[in-house]
Amino acid sequence: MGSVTRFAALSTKLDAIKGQLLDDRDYENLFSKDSVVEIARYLKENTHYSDLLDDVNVDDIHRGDLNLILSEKIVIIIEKLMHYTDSEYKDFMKALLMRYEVEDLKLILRGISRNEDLKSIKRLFIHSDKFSLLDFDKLVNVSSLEDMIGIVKDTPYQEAFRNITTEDLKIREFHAEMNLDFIYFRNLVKKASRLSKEDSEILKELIGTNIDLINLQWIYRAKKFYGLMPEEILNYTLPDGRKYNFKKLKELVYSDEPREAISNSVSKHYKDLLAEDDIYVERKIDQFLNDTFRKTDKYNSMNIAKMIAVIHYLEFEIRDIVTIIEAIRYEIKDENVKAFMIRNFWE
Amino acid sequence: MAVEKMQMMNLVAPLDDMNKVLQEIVLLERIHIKNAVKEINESNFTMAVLEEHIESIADMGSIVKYKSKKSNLKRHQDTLDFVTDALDMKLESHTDIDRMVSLTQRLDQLYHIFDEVRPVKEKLDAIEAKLHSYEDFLESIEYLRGMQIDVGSLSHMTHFNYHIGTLTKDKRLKLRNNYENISAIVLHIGSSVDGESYLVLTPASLEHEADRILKSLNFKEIKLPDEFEGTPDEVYQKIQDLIYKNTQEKMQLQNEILELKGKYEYTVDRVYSRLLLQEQIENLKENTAVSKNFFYFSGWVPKKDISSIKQKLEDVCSRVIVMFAEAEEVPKKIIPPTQLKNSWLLRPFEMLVNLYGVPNYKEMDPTIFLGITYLILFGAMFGDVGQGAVLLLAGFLVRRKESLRTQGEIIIRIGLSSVFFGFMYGSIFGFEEIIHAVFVRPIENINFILYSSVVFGVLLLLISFGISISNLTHKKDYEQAVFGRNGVAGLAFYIVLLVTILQIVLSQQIIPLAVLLGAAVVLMAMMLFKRVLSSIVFKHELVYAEGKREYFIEGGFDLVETLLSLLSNTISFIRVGAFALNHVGLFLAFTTMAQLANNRAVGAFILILGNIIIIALEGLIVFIQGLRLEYYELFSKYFSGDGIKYSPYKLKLESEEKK
Repeated sequence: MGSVTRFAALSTKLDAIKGQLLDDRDYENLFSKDSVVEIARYLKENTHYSDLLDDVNVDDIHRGDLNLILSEKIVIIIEKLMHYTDSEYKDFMKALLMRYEVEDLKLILRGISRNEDLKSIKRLFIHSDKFSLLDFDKLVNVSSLEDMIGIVKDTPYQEAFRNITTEDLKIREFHAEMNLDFIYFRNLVKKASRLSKEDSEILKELIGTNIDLINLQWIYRAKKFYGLMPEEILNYTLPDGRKYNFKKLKELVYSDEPREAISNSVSKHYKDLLAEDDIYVERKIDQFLNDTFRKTDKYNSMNIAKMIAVIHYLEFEIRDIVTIIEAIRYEIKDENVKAFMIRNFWE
Repeated sequence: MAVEKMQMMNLVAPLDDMNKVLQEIVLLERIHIKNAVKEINESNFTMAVLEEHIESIADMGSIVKYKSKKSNLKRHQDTLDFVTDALDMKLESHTDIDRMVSLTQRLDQLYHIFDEVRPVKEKLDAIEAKLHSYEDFLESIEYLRGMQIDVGSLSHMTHFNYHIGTLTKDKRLKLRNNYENISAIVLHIGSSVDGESYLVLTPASLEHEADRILKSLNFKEIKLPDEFEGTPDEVYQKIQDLIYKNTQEKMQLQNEILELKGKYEYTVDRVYSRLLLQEQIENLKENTAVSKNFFYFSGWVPKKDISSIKQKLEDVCSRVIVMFAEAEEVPKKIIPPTQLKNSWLLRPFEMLVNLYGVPNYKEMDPTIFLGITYLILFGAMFGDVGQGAVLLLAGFLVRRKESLRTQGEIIIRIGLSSVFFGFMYGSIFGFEEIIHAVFVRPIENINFILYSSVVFGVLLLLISFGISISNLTHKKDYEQAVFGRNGVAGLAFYIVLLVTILQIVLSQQIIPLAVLLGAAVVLMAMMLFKRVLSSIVFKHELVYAEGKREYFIEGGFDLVETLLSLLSNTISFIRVGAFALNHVGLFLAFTTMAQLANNRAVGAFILILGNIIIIALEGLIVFIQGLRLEYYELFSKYFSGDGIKYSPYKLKLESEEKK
């Protein structure tokens, strides 16, 4: 199939979604609000989030509830976009959806380790019900890790539970989480490689960049905060990075000064990420990805880049709205809020 | 051959008898549900106020939607699931529920069975788990065989620790690329379903580090049971013996399960049906309205069944009040459900009608017209004794599959029609020489075939106008019935058009052209000003819902469209003749190819292939073209298809059956 026949409808749909994203004026309006209720009302009356908030009474909405409702949007959009794809592309979209399932599995694991009532975290789930590989109804009824392992058996997630113990959940929370991320990315890379040559090249770069950034962040944190052994750190890193292969990661891991080692080793490509304080690292990374998407998106219309970009724009937008909501709670004002946001207001 | 008459049933009964009454309603499987709260709010709940009913009416002041409690049921269903899973049963529902056995009794039976089955099932699970671990163990020790060491002594080492386990491919690569930093000896000892197996030896002093590294490698450890001593070969033998012993035990437990299955299968099925019934009762409750002492319920029932339904309901509960209302008495905006009723011959064609839309309760069931005309159209386009017989046979084959039953029935009927027309045309498997044509040979009489198919089309269109006028009158939409494009005005306009064309074609003038032209203009004006005219004739207020200007602009376009579509609808039927010719022509091509082949075997092969292609390809095309004529040319004239299908409440809903 040619790229036009494959992407014509999808591309139009994506343009429509892109056109609905919040613009600077929307953000200015949101900044001027003083309460969660006002923000919710603004979103309900003036933005594309109206469909989610349609039958929600915004007058007594809580911060957490609003965040949750907003986060549902991405999965809804991906499910909608799936109608415009077929065969391998649909499989790839399903692989994208696994990420939300992974996040929900992490929630369940945390719930188990803290002995929480799992039914109460059910409302926090964001995965797609339609394309779920797991029986979440059963998962929220488990009382132990062993029960959970029984349910994930024969699903792609099984591998993450190979040697996990209840003790690990407490002292090595990252063990299961890194393994789940590993499964998600491995599957994503595999599904991406089955797309057309052009698309799989693009995705290799985009996913590879994402993996690089996750690895760098992991190494930095693991050394600085978790005090792990180099061998352990290395074993948890994700393969298929773009600029950092296993050998380069190994050099980083065995160096004594990770921050310095990273700054010495980074290619020009990632230079921008370094200047900031630790608290901004995550934001910098997201901004970097955002810029990467914008660059790829600009020059390509009839390929997969546009879809990946639009999904991420939406995700970043939701994260920014959440940041604004949080800022109200911590009473941070305008310009200071912008410093925590992914959207760049100084362009 | 019509739409089954429906009546609206309204029911009031004491709350205490709710379960009994609803149970009967589910089991009757004749009642199409409506939500009672909605009914009462819209005041469609017709109640003949009799002295004896006063009590219940007076109580209707505060009516709320019933909130069902399904959560209790969930627990029973889970128990049932456990039992069926343990007994490896496939559940079947039975509608002949024994009313003497209560739900509580059935549940007692269920939990009794559960108590008996559970210990066996748990033992079986435990043994299976044990067997599984033995097998894992066997696999890993397999690679140590031949070594002259004592397995028991491995676990008694003081300065070294050992681990046996598996690694996945990805992590294996990582380990290999970082060997120099690992403080352990890692020996590859084989591969298993779970990944590659390794034996890892570490100094006891570095045990902690080694554990963490193995953890991060997602190393899945296989624990050597402590109870075994001796060389790997000896241990291997011992484990095999254990596996044998446990397998024996497993088989014994499986036999026990089989016995239990034989003993309880019947009861479990009954429990299942009872639970299913209860679930449906709870579902039904969501459609009832309740007040303090009574509950209210409404639905549609076929008129012919009302006395038996009433009788049955009164049998289970003496205080139930059931009332019926004719469909005509119910306010217009509530559409009664449609149940089609047709003879054996035409019933399968209901499927083709429903494919387009369910007939409205108030319109004529188009099945009879569609069925007969479709049979003729298909046969006329695909008339061949042999090929029709093949379709007939195929239909019988398809029909054997339960889910394709109706489709099979349709194929049988069109196959028969094809055979009939085959005799008319004198064609068998494409050969025109073998049998005598009873009626006509299409290819020899091309003009006749084409003309007669258009004439047939005109006939069908005229009938369609008739049906349309009758439907519109039934709906009391007199404006459309008299002045509409599918009403009397449209029909008259069509006839004028036909006469004009006929006179031109035959170059004769019986009615002067000017008269025809005048009539056409008058009729078109009637269609354009139908709103104005009907307000004068039927004496009601003149309203333009969409605005006066829009109405006339739309009306203008509508006129042009009417003219064009009448012509195209008519000409469209020429395809009937064209396909009859095409059928012969296509086979002619294959005969020519067969002759060119100059070889009898090859020739025969080409002719057989030709027949297959004609049956599959042309059969499909003709099937679709026929449907197209029905839907586009005819249905658009008279059929609205905005009805609701009559789907009575059942123990097992149809959608669930298909799952």
